[in-house]
Parts: sequence; C-alpha cells; structure tokens
Amino acid sequence: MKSAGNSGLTLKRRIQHNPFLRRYFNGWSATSYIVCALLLIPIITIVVGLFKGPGNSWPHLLSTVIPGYILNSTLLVLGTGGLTFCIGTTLAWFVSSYDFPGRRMFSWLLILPLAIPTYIMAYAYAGLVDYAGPLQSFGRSAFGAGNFFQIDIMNLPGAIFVMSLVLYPYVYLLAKASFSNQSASLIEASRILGKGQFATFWKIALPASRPAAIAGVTLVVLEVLNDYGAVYYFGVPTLTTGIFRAWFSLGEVNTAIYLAALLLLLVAVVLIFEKASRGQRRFSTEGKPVARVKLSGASKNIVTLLVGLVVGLALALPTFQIAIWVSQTYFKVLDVQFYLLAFNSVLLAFGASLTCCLIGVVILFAYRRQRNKTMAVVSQLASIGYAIPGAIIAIGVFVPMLSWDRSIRDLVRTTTESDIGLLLTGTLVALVFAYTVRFLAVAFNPIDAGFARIPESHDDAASSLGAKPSRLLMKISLPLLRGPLLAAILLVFVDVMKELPLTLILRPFNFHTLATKTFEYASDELVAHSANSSFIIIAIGILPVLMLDRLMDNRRLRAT
Amino acid sequence: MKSLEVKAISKKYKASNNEAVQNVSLSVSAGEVLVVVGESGSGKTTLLRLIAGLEYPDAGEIHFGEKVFSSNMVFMPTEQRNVGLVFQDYALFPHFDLMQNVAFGIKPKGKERTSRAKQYLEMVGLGSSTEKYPHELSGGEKQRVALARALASNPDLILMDEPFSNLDTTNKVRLRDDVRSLLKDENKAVILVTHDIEDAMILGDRVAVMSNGAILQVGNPEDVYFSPVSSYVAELFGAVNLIHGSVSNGQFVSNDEKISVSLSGDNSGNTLCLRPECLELCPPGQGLADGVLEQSQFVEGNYRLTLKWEGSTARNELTIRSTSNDWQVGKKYGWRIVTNKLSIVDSDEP
Repeated sequence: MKSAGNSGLTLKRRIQHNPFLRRYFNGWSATSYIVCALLLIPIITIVVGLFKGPGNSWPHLLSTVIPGYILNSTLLVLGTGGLTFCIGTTLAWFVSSYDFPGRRMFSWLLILPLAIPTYIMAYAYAGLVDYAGPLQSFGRSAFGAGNFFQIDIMNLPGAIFVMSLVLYPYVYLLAKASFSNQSASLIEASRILGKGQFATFWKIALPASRPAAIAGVTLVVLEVLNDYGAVYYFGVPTLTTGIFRAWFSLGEVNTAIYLAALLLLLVAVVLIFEKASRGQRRFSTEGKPVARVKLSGASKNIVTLLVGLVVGLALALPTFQIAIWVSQTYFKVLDVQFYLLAFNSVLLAFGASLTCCLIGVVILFAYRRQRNKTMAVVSQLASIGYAIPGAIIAIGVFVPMLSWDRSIRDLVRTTTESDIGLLLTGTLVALVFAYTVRFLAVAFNPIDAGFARIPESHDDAASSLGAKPSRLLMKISLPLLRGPLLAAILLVFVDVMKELPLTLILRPFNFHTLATKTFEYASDELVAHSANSSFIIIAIGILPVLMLDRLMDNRRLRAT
Repeated sequence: MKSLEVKAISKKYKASNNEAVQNVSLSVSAGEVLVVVGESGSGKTTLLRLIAGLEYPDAGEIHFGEKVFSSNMVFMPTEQRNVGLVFQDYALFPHFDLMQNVAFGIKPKGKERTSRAKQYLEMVGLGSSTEKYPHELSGGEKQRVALARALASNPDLILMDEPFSNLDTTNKVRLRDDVRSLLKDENKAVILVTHDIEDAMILGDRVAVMSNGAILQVGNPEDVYFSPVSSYVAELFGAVNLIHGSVSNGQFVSNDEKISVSLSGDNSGNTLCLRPECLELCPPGQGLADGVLEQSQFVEGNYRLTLKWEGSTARNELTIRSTSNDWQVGKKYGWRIVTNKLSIVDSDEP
C-alpha cells in the first residue's frame, strides 16, 4: 500500500529512508564492514596461501625440524600454562584470604612483572646466571673458586621458567578478582564443615575460580605463542622461530605461511579448550567478601617468604641486573641517535594507539547504534587479532601489500614509464596497519566498557533532540568516553612499545624501535647495551599495569 | 491540524519471539494527551520507541501530518522526526550544565538559543540553576529539566516513558500537576506511557489500555473506569465487584440466580462490573440481596466496606464505598445499585 506522504519523497530521501538500508547500511556500519574486511586480510592471506602449496623445503623441514617445532611449542605452552596456573592461583589465594606483613604492597608488586617483555626477562636471566653474572660472581667471592650457582638456563625449561615469571600476573589478577568475588558464606561453610585452609582452597575456592584462572592461562598461552625474542635468544626452536627461519634464511614465504597455519591451529586448540572448559557454567556468587585470616607463627613466615620469593625472582633480580648493565653502558649507548630512536618509537606507538582508538570508537559506536547479529560478528572479527601471533600477522600484511605495491608500480611503469617503487611495503603505514590488526582488541575493551556505562537513553535523547549520529558522537559519547579512551591509548601504546616479532618483520629498512634495538643488541652479544632500551620499555610499561590493578579493584568494589 | 496516526503497527523481538506490539492503531492530535497504560511487559514502551524511531517496526505505518515516520518503504530516523522524548531515568547529559542540556536541541543558534533555553528553564521553575550540573539536582528537578529540554526543541510530538516512576510520592504529585498545566499550555500532541493508573486518570485526555502488545480499550478516563471492555481492564483501573452470570432479554441474572438487574441498552457478556461507589448498603431485605458487614476501613476520606455475600463472586464478598460510617461490623445489611454506571464485560472466569 502506498501512502500519500511517500509520493513527495525525492529519490535521495527514498534511499536515505529505506528501512532495510537504514537498518544494515548506514555510514557507520558501512565503515565498520570495510575496516573489518581490511583487518581480516592477514588471516585470509594465510588461508589463501595454503592453497598455493608450500615452498620447496617443506617436505624436508616436515621430516626434520617441524616435529621439533611443534613439540617445543606445545611443551612451552603446557609448561608455562601449568606453572603460571600454580603460581598465579596460589598467590591470588594468599593475597585475598590471608593477612601477612606487607600484604598490600605485595598485592600490587606481584603485578609489575607484567611490564617486563618476555625477551627482556630472558636477557636479564641469561645475564644473572652467566659466568660473569652477579650470582656466580657472588658464589665465587663467597665460597672461593668453584662452580657455585652454575645453572644452564638457555634451554626449554629455562624458557618456561622465564616466561612464567613474566606472565603469571595474568592468572594472578583474574584469580584474585574471582576469589574476592566469592562470597564469605561459601568459604565459611567449608570451614564450618571442618575443612582446613588447604582443603578449602583445593576443594571450594579453586574450582569456583577455575574459569577465571583458565581465562588467565589462555592469555598467558597466547603470549607464549607470540614470543620470538626469548625463545630465539635461548635457542629453543619453536613454530614462531621456524616462521622467521623459513622466511629469512630459506627465503620461502609459502613455507612460512604453512608454519603460520600450524601455529594458528595451536592457537585455535587453545581457544577451543578454554571455551570447552568454561562451558555454560557461570560461578557467580554474591554476598560479602571473605574476611582475611590473620596469619601468625610459621605459616605467616612461610607465606611471606613465598610471596617475597616470587617478587624477588620476577621483579627484583631482573631489574637489578638491568640496572647494573645500564650503569655499565649508558655512556656508550645514550647518544643523539638513541634519543631519536626512542622518539621514533614513541611516535609510532602513539600513531598506532590513536588508530586503534579511532577504529574502536567507530566500530563500537556503529554496533551501539545497530545492535544486530551482523554488527556483533563484525566487532568480534575485528578484535580477533589479539589471539594471533605477531609473526603471522606480519606475513599476512607483508604478502598482500607487496603484491599490491608491485601491481601499482607496474601499472605506473607501463603508463608513465617512471618507477615509483613500493608504496606501502616497508613503510610505517604497513607497521601501523599490522599493529592495529594485532592490538585493536586491547583498545576495544576499555572503550566497550565505557560505552556500556553510558545509558542508551542518552543516545535516544540526543537523537530525539535532532542530533545526527556524528553530533551525538562528538558532543555526547566522546566527552563521556574520555577516561576509557585515555586508558585505551595507554594500553595500546605500551603493547606497541614492547612488540617485537611483528616489528622485526615489517619495519622499514634501517628503522628501529626500542624493542628491535634491544633485540639487536642482545643478538649481537651486546646484551648489556640492550638494557638501556629495556629500562625505558619497562618504565613506560609499568603505567598501564598499575592502571590494570585499579580497574580490577574497581570491579571488585562494584561487585561487593 | 497535525496529528499522529499509528496504523496497524507490529513489532516482534527476535530474541523472545513474542510479539511486543501487535497490530496497534491509534491517533493523537495536537493539544491532546494520550496516556498508554499497561503492566510491565505489555509492550507500551516498545510502542513509544516505534513512534520515536528507536525501533524498526515489522509491519504497519506511522504518520505525523504529512510526514511519513515509517512504512514499508520509509523509515525516518529519529533525529528528523521532531519528537521530544522524556525518560524514566531523565537521560540528562552529565557533562553539560542545565543550560547546555536544554540548549542542545534548540535549532536557532547564538542568543536566541540561550534565551529560549533560559525561558524554558524558568518555565519549569529552575531559572536560577542554569549553571548547575545534573548530579546536583534531585530526581524531580532532573525530570523538570528533561521536560524543559524536550519542550525547548519545539517538537511536534512529545513522548514520555514512565516519567514519574523514579520519584517519591510527594515529588511525583507536585511534578505531575505542573506537567499537566505545562502540557496544556504547549498545545502539543503528547503520548505518555505509564503503569500507574493515577497518572493515566489525572493526565490523560484519553487513555489507551495495553496488554500483551495489543490495545484493549481507548477512551476518556471516566469511560474506561466505569465501562471497561473486560474484567482485566476493570481490575487494572481499581477495585471492582465482578459478578458472574448471563444476559437475556435486557436482564442480567447471576449464575446462582440470586440477583437480577435490568439493563438499559445493548449488552452482552458474562460478568457484571460494579465499582465500589456504585453500591450502597440498606436495611436487610430492602436491597438486591443481603450480606454480613465484615470490615470497615477509612481510606482517603471514605469508608471502604467489605460485605460478606455468598453470591457469584470470586471471593464471596463485595466492596462498597460509603461516605458515612453508620454501619456496624457483624450486622446483616442489604445492598443495592445506586447508579446506571454499570457495565457487562466478558471474563475468562466462570
């Protein structure tokens, strides 16, 4: 039925006001679809690459080194996952249910190791246990000549140990938040039923917090699979180092793609395992949190000692080592070039974090205005990069960009007979794009939470007052998102500052960030020199880690 | 004169798969306040959101004057509909002061915008608080600002979603009276959605009763009160005595044949609806039937009497309103009907 009012509509209006189009294709969602499609290019590249077949060395590699890669990667995942689970949940239990000297200080000191990238922890430990390092020097001076404290750490168990020291805070944070949310009645019931402290932890608290702890372990494992610097330095060949080797030593991109696919498979297994282990269960208990038990005597000393040991191993020792190195080398390293490099690094990280925030706002705003399945899928897909190791994203960006650049170059060459070279490959644009793919999810979290805190009635009110979506966003949403946006910028900023594998592959020729310079010094047997840039990375990295703790605390406060 | 026409609009939510709004038609003209009343989940808020353009209808059309709000071919976005929205949670922008809040929707810029914003803040009695921020206000004040904001943008249509339900009783009554006179002055078409019958009775020029996504009855408040279309509507609007029976030859006879009432006009249905004020007590034997007075309560200046009567009612009792308290609890009385404001409705109960 056609109503009288329609006949006066211009074609433009008719398109603008078409119900179907309005529902699924406004400017915001259309932009989101396009951005999402761009962000998926790396994964699509890997999948398409699989159909082109592997490089020549693939059969040879498959029968020689690849089983070792898979085994090492798997053992690294299992070892680090298991160790961080134990350390993280135990510490979380101590901090949330016992009172012991220094508890408050320890509760945030325990998070700080998260600011240390895995490769820097690896360098620091290699230095600590080295023949010339402080441990052995101390041993020799204290006990005379001899091989005291001689430990070989440059191997698989060493890598597991080092990575666990950096990554356990993920488990610790999530388990702590979960323990704090457990109601006192649950724990008290267990104690009244005559269960001891240990039995209560093992039978009640831990199972109830398992989903949170496993979520933490999943984050740990994704970091482990992403790592290149530490395993490379320790000489542990994994799928990630294999990708580098296939590409740079053998020059076979297609073989690298096949290895990337294997690595992706491992990531998928991890994610499926997490989902399966969580299932449909939701352990949400309400009520007042557990009153902490005041420890005394031997148990007080043991708990304090254990917590102190972790802080010492994961924080004090490595920063001590780095400080020694800095004091030995700063006058050789800190020159104009170094400052320029640091400035580059900061600028790049800032650019990437602004890009992530911009895209995050656009997609989440579009989703807010169109709560349908399509947009839900778009926002999920756009943040998938966080699960994908940086090396894979690097290949997935490099390969299509190179072929695009080549075809543009050839087109220009045939039409104008001039050579414009490669436009994007090996430029900062490629790097920023890759960072966006990898870290968009990091920006998503705070922005999404920020949007959730703005009642939708505000949007409705603004629309009813005649505000177009753009005015709504600029005048209402963005001012109210100021805090979350700052958090998002800071979080992405630090992640980019630390990022190594992706940057190593995609950086422009002769371009260095603090992270790649650290890696280069360490690879050139100048590990003491690397400490200077390490120091800056850690110092900057501490900022969001402290913020993370505050966010968690807020969540706990809201829950209680 | 411009008026809102809603024609056979329907909306189903995919998640719940039940029809939030089904085949609803209504119209509101300028200067008129239509109150949509219903229990939570009746679909009244969805109806409001459909009219505002915050939801997409599955079927039906919405017009305002010459403008097509929505149809099969057209969906006009909210920002072009020129409707004013007032929410239960006020939805004031927390980072704007009151002046900025009210000015947000005013089209002319510069001086005219400020003076108009000021004028509307004064109108709602907050002319001296223009530089305050929403968090400094009480709930009632917030809702005044929200109303000023909606009115200041000079909308064709004002939509209010449970505007008083977050307020305490004193604030609510005062604000409701103010809103009533403000809306009368503005001469706009207004739809107000509420679950509160008192809101409906006081503010509504007409009342629409909604249940399970459908409109059961539209009419002026008195008609709906005294002549409900169903026992559901009757009970929604206050205490009522429902006597089950049947109609034949202009006579209503209760199921137990204890009473019969002669009716004027056409009536059909199985239940006689009598408001407490339609009944009175009389000496035994002189009324329709006799019962024993069980209780007398003093409520809002009147006496609410509960008469035990073994008739065709659900709880074997009648509620009667009386201005006097000349009755003795425990004594036997007769009861009779004092007005012609009775109605016959259909009821599911036997």
